[in-house]
Amino acid sequence: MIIFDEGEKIIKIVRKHYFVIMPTVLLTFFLAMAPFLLFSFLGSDFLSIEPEIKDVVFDFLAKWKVFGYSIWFLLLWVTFFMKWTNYYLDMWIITNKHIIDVDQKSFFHREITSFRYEQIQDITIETNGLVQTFLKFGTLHIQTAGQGNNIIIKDAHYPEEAKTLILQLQEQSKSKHNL
Amino acid sequence: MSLALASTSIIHISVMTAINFVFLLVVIFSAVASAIMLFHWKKYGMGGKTLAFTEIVYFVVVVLLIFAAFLSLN
Repeated sequence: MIIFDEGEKIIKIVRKHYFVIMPTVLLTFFLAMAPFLLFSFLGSDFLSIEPEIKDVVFDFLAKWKVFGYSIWFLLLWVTFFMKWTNYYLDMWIITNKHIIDVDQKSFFHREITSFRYEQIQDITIETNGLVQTFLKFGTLHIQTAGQGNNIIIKDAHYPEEAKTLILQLQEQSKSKHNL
Repeated sequence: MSLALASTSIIHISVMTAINFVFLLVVIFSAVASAIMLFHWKKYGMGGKTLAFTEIVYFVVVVLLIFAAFLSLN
C-alpha cells in the first residue's frame, strides 16, 4: 500500500491512455471469436476430411460446445483482466507534496518512486505521431535534481494538463518554503 | 468413448472424467487469479468508480461463465 505523509492530499492520478490496452482488447476479441471461425472452417468444404471423422468431430463439438466455449471465454476473460490490472495499476499520483511514480511491472513486482516538487528541474512533453496527437497522450519527462532517477511517464493521458498542474504545485511549494 | 493417456494404452479415462478435470483446473486457476487481482485492486487501486464498476463486471461474468460450464456438464 502507498503510504502518504500527514496532511498529504491526492490532487490527480495520471494513468496511461486507454489506447495502450487496445492491442490486448483486440487480441482478446479475436481469440473469443476464434472458435466460431474454426467451426466454420471445419464445416466448409475447404478441408478434405473423411465424412466419418467429420461426423465424430461435429458430434463431440455439438455436445460440448457450451462447456468448451464457457471455459475458453473464462480463460480469456481472466487473462485479459490480469493484463488490464497491470495497465491500470501503472500510475502517477500527484499530491500536494510529492509526485509518486508507481511502475507496475507485473503482479508482485512494482517500483514506487516519489519526488518532492523542489527536486523538479524541468518538465518536457513528447507527443509522437498522429495517434498520440489526436488522442491527446504522450510521454512526460520530469527531470529531477540530485538523483539520476528521472521520471518518465509513458503514454500519459492529457500530458499538458499534468504538466501545468505539476508546475502550479511546484510554484506553490516554492512559495511555501520561501525558495 | 475413452481417451488413452499413455502410449501403452494402460491408463484409460472417460471423456466425462477428462472434462471434469479440465473444469476443476480452470475453476482453480480462475479462483487463484481472481483472488490475486482482487488483492491488487484493493491494495493498490486507489479506489474510484472505474475500479468498483470493473470489479462488479469481472466477477459477474466469471460467476456466469463458471455456472454455464457447470450446467453444461450435466
